[in-house]
Amino acid sequence: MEIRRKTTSKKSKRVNYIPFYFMMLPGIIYLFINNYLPMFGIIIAFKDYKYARGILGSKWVGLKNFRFLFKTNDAFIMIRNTVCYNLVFIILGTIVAISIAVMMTEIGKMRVAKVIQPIICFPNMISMVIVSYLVYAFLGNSGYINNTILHGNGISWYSEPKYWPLIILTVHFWKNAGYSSIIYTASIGGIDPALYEAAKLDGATKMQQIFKITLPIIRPMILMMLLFSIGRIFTSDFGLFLQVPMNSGALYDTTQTIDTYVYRSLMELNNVSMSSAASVFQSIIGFILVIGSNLLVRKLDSDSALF
Amino acid sequence: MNKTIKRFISILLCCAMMTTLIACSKSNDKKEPSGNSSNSEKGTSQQDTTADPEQEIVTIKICFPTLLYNPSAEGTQQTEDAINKYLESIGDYVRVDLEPIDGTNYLTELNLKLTSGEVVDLFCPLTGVELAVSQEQVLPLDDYLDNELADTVAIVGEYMKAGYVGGHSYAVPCWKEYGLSCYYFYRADIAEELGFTEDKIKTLDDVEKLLMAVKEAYPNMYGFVPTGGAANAGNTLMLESVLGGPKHYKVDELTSGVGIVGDDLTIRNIYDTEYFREVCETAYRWNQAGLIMPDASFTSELGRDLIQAGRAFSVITGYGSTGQYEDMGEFYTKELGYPIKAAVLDTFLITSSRCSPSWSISYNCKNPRAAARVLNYLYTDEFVENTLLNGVEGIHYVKNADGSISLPEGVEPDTSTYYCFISCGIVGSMAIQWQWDEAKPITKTIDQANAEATMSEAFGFAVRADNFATEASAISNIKNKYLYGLICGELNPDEYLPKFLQELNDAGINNVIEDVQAQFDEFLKNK
Repeated sequence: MEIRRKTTSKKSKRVNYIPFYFMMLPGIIYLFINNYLPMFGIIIAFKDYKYARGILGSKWVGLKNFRFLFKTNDAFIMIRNTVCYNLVFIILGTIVAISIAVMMTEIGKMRVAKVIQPIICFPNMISMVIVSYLVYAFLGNSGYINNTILHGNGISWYSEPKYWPLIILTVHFWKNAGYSSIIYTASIGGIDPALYEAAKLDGATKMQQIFKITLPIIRPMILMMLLFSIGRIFTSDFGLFLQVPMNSGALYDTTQTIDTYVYRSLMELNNVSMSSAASVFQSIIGFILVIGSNLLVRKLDSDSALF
Repeated sequence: MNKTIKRFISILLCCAMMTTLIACSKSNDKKEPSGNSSNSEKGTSQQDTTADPEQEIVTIKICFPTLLYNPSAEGTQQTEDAINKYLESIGDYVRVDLEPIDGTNYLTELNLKLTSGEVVDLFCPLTGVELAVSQEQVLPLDDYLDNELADTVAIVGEYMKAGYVGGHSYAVPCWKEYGLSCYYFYRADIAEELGFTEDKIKTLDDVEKLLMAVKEAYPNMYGFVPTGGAANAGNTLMLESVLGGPKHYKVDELTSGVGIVGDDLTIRNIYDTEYFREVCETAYRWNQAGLIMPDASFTSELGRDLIQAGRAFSVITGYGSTGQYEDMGEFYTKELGYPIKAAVLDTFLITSSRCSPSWSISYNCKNPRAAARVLNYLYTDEFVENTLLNGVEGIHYVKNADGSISLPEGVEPDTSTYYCFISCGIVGSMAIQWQWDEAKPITKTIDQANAEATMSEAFGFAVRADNFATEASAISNIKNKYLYGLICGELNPDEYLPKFLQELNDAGINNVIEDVQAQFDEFLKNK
């Protein structure tokens, strides 16, 4: 009897869900066309691609196309730069985004918030090309910093690699901090205000409220965002690393990332196979990292894991 | 519930995967017969070379790069119709389908088209003929040289060799003046004020003295400014072109960083030569003396604009000598609004890569013979060539009494629906193109200009990069790192040139040299 009822309810459940599956269909089809179909192209990375023979007709060459990534000392530099910049972006970026989100919610009731929020989000809308000229206006040989602050005996910023980690970080956070805080602002906004009121009654300070209520509640969101960004640790913002340093050769030691290296090496060669080898490499490492860090998260706190 | 969704998704994915695989195998199957049919077509049509009026109409697509102004769909259609009407009236069986593509996107768009198998019958392999051949993007033209393309071959003559790879012809270079001159453009008013007359400015040493004087008299003006390099690469002062010209070191860079210097036929690393050291030292000396604009290697403010704004004194640029203006100084004076004079410091060596862009037939062209016919019209038929460049008479241009053409009243280049004249040095033959606004007497034909220029010993030699693609990518990167800083004088050659050479050695430039030398010996043997 018991068992029977269970199966019927299961069946009716299944039937009930059918409309939802249909609702999902456009999304799934989109996901499939946009994200899964192109994966077929991965095989180009293992082939000596010839236009006349097509993708399937070209010769298999194994890992030959990957060799150029590791050929020179640059391999170390570009992988170091990509990973280190991204680590800093992830760690510092999360802290900055959460702090902004917390502060925004605190002043949310005030009128100023309506002005401040657009202002800190605005840089995100500016194209990197324009950003690069803004930076140039500050740092160029006849730019603002050299002419006014340093009184003419300036630094030629675009040939001194040592300053660039700081410049890149500044530009990155100036551009992205406001926008990346939006998602946290939204999830903090969803916290039940009754919790804070209760805490206030118990005499909790603002700091205690933040650390004891806000952060624990949005923790799953933070972990999810972290996992997302870890998956992209081997890719870099092309505009930030190519346009902002004005593609200046002298800065490669601190501005070369995997993406810019691939771009610079293959501009002349126009080699489809080698460029896709590079992105396959990035994706596979990213995939391994996401799976790995998700495993780790699941071990530590199974509720917060993505899958 | 979770499980059901998962199962559902996995089924969906499986289905979709199957369909893609089927689709792929289908397209693969299709390719074979079409390849065969085009072969058989070749075989049959080889017997009758004259156009048969009964023959089926064949439409050939022409993908050409446009610069600055992109024609609208309407204007393109009108132009296409005009050309097709003309082709019908002369009884030919070919028709054209024009596809103007923005020059800055040309390479990307063409790559996508060719990868996806879209038919582009005629196109410019902008990355070089040898690369297009090694990637199998183009078909050989050998069968058509004696018939369809015979008139073109007669016009282009020995320069056809620039389109040869491994003994077969794959591309026809557009017909124009190949050996440009390196002009030193300077503000004549300032130079004369400082006592430098035209006859005192002939060599780079003269230029240096002049720049010193300008620096003294006009400290706020940039003495010498760079010219833009290739897209997204650094800028250049053009000193490497002047010093690499036939009157100086005579350099032919055959592939990235590797070439021949002077009359010696040994392949060498051109950065490891007296020539390159002199380029770097000159640039560095000028930079240290404050003669060159700062940040020259990457600035986006370039020569002409800076001179036009009155902020710069001089620039070196390459131009042909057969254009409307015999004296390039006069041309620049008109364009920039300051009295400008031009001194020729050296000329460009005619190398295979200078004879570009060239035109090829794509690998998936259904009827290459018809494509060759269309290509031939671009070199021989005044109407087809000029309509393709200028559009339709009465709509896009009007004819003047002296035979030249002008824009119709009230139409500007950017409001015209079809204005491709800037592609004049890209499509077909410049010899049959109409002049704009005013018919100037031609003082020098293209033939004469090319005959006067010096030809490289390696002309007609195309390097196949298949064996050293890994090395070439590393070299390309190292080049980007050092080259522009060195040739713009920002890096001290004593310190950075050895580093540059060391990195090139580590990247395996010697393997490249060896490989190219073997290919070159083979080429010389068969020459």
